[in-house]
Amino acid sequence: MLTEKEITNKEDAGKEDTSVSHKPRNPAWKKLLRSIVFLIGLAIIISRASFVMEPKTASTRLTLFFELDTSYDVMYFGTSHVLNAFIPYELWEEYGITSYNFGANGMHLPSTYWLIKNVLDYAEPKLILIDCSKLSSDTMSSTTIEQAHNVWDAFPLTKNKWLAIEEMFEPEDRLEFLWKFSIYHNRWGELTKNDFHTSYSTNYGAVTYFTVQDPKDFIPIPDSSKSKADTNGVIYLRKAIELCQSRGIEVILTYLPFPASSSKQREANRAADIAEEYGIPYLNFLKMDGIVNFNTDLKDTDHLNFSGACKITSYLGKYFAENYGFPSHKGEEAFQQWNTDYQQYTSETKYRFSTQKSLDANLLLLSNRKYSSAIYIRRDSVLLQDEHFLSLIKNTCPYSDFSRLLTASAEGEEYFLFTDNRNKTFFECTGPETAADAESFLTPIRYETEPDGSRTMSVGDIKYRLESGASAPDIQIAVIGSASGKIIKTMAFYVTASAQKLTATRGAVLEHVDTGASLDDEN
Amino acid sequence: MTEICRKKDIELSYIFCYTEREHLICLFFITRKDNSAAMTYNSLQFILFFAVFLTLYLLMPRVRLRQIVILIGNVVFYKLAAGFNMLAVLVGTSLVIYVAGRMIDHIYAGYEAEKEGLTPKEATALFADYKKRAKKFLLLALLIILGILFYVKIGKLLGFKEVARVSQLFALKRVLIPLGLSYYTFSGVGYLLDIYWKKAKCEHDYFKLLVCMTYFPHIVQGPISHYHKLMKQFGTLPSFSYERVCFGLQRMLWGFFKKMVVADRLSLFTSTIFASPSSFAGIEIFFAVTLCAVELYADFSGCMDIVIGAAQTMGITLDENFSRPFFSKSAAEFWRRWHITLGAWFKDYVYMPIAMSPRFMKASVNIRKKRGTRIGQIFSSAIPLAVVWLLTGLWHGTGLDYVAWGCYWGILIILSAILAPDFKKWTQKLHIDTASFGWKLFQMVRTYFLFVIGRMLTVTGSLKGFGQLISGLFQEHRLWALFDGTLYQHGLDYKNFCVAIVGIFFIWIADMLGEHMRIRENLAKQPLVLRWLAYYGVIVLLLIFGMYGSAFDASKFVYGGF
Repeated sequence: MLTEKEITNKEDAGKEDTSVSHKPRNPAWKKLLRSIVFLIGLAIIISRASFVMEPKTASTRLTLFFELDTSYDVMYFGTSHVLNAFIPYELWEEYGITSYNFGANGMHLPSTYWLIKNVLDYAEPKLILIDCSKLSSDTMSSTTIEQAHNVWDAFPLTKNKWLAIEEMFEPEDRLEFLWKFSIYHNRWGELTKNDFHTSYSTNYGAVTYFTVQDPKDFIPIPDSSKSKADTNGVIYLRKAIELCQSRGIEVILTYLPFPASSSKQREANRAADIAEEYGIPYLNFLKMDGIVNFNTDLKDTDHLNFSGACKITSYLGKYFAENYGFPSHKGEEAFQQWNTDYQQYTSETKYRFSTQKSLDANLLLLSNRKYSSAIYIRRDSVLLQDEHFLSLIKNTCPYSDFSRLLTASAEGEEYFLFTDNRNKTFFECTGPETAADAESFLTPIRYETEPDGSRTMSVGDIKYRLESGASAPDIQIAVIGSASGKIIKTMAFYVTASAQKLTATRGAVLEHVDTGASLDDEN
Repeated sequence: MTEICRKKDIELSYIFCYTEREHLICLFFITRKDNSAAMTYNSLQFILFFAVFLTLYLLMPRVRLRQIVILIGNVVFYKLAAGFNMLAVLVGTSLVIYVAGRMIDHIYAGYEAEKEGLTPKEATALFADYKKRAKKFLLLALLIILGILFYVKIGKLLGFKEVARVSQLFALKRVLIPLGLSYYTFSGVGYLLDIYWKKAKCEHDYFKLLVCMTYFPHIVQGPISHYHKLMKQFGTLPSFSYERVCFGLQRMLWGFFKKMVVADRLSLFTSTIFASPSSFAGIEIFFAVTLCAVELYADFSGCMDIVIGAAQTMGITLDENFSRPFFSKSAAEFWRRWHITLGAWFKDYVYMPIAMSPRFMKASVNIRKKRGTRIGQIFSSAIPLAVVWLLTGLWHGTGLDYVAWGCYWGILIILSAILAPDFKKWTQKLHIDTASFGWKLFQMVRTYFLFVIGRMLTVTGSLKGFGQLISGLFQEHRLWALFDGTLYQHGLDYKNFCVAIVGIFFIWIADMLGEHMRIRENLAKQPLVLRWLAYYGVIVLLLIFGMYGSAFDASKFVYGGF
């Protein structure tokens, strides 16, 4: 190897490059090979470092999509409205239809088009659902650059990704999408052990929320009032439809339900024209009553919560089965992974009954048909006077007209509601009423008054004492698996009224009266 | 000549140059107009540009082709970094320098022809006559090129609007600031003076002069090169050498590390403090002013490592600009180790001409006779130094803060020169062992803080800011900021502080080792595994801890503004 001084001297003399070293020189091919090996090693190191540094938010949602060898019947595309509205597992459980949710926060339709184009590099679904929110927008990518990263970071660099980034972003913003390390290398101070391995979300893209917000006013506008027809949103929606149709994929447009402003409603009306033009179905949920209830099904002013998502998913499952004839894959060998993952999803949902501290969240979970429930509200509870909580309780049982609940509310009486979601039936009691040996339900259930005047509730062989005094919890709940008929969880909440709202505090589990029955199922 | 055509969103540009053999070369460039993002040496744009450039350069089999590739590289670089309008000014300046140099050379050639057969006395008289004629061209050229520099500096001082096109200059109070103006102007002045003083030969090939003047590694921040030395190297550009390219790339890598890991990280903290000095006090200001000196060193010397390394890959040796300045034991030594080429330029073209001018020497002798040797020595060293430091201050900036900065260093260096015999006596009286490590360390620390004080004068952009820094430093100690986390809320959190400190430690180790050995040369002798681990380590550290990407947008080199 030449010394630096030797090199300098030699070059100063203006000579061509000939060796003056004492060591035998490596032949040129060896140096070339060494350089190539060095660069390959460097590429591997940078690639690993890039993986570690990258936040796992985006990749977690899509790892399953890239790694699971399965076919999809339906794929959902759109904004956060879509992200929060479709739960692929619920569709699988009810109809055996496979689907993936590609909804993303703040994603505008040009980005939706490019996302579809990129996704189709890896999968060929039978049906693509595109939500038309942000149809009147001219924004090309996402509302914020962070949201755009959540859409694109998980995708490997391909020609279609390159084209997408080139079209959607200004030159100065492109690098951070094409070479993510340029922005994420600064995360070295935030790394946790989770950053060193691939993480999965088994929700097939869906993100659900367990909060409830009271709705703002929804004032419908006439169908004739429409947003502009020449926005980037419209242009790229057309391109997306044409792309799908050119690939032989069916398309359905939606506008998901929420108390939409007049400008949003105009978008929904414009979408109807586009659907008609292309001869494709359009479900404008803004104009469809009776599917969701804005009092119980919104997580914030615009987005559906878990309860709303279950309702929309269930509605669409039925719609897909009836209109597209998708067969159930439940028994098929190739889809066993879905069954396995579904069991995990169910366990996670059950686990939420323990982790969700709020009464809202637990009542929302009870709206899912996988769970049946027994709910007891003590006499004179403030809950009976609160419209918000009464709506959530009504939301757990779609079969009742709640005549006794109205009576209990009016007279301050105690109230008991049993909902059987397997047989789609219920019973309710108020005041001194009891119900004994109702064996036609999924599990024998009794609501009784003991000789000492106390109230008890029996679910199968297990009896619980219900506290009923003025210092008792306001609401006591037993969650029962609709399939097994066994107790999953019991819980009690104390509710206090402040100037503006009610606040519920979680209390202990229900007191078990020893009858010799096993409590194994309670976790 | 540069002409620029515009057609919708592209620019078609072409440059005509005459080669040594009077061949006309026409270079065309088509670029997009919306190229707004300026290229800096630490940008990805530059790295990509340099990778393509170097590949092409190394593939060229002949010296002439390599020269052409360098010229194309220079033009592309300048276009991406500043735009063609700026390049037009640079090319115009190069033409002035070329024509003036040729005219002076032509006049001297006349003298050479005429002096045959004359006695030395007659030849001297004849030369004085020719020199007077050459001086006219010299002064005219200096008037033009220094005039541009003066106009730009004054324009900045008066707050003229900065414009991007030559055509906009015709409106009042507009100033176009070509990239690297201060650097190429000084090099150009040096080149003309060297020809005028017959220290160097005039370059007859305009192409070579243009390549040299626009040479992209030194155009933005120096080093201030001697064109005749550089042009000699351009004449013998060596072919590919694996070792040379490796050494060059290694030096660039080290420069990127200094700039992006240390300087840019520290600037997050220092710029927060200096943006609002009255909001901070005590230990916060102490840390900021202490670290800002390291920041400037890491920034400027990092840039020099990048450009000298880049030039080395091409087989061109640029002058060194730094020689471990923080190991200096006096202010004078510091300036021999810091921005060496600027100091050398002032010494060659300002200090020496004044000190060696017959009138000044005569005046010095007179004062020595009348006022004694000591006063005579003081006069003969102080006057040229005072001029040099006033001009050094003005070169850095035309604000009062830079004038004060120039005066500060001038006074320090003059006083240390004048009082040197007294210092020697005092140390002897106090029985200080001036050869001991402790005394040398004290001198180094003292010099460092003298530099820090000088930096404080200009770092806030005004003398008022300097006053705020000084008063803030002493009004409240705020020592608790070290322990309650307050210190880490000024742009740099605890973890980043640690990275910066470790980075400074690496630089210090490298400088220490560099005093005694050639680091890259020694590394090259190590086993392959060890070498590669070192290379991979520095690259990964740079990639992870470097301040770059869209999350970071403050990475301009400090000395790129001059």
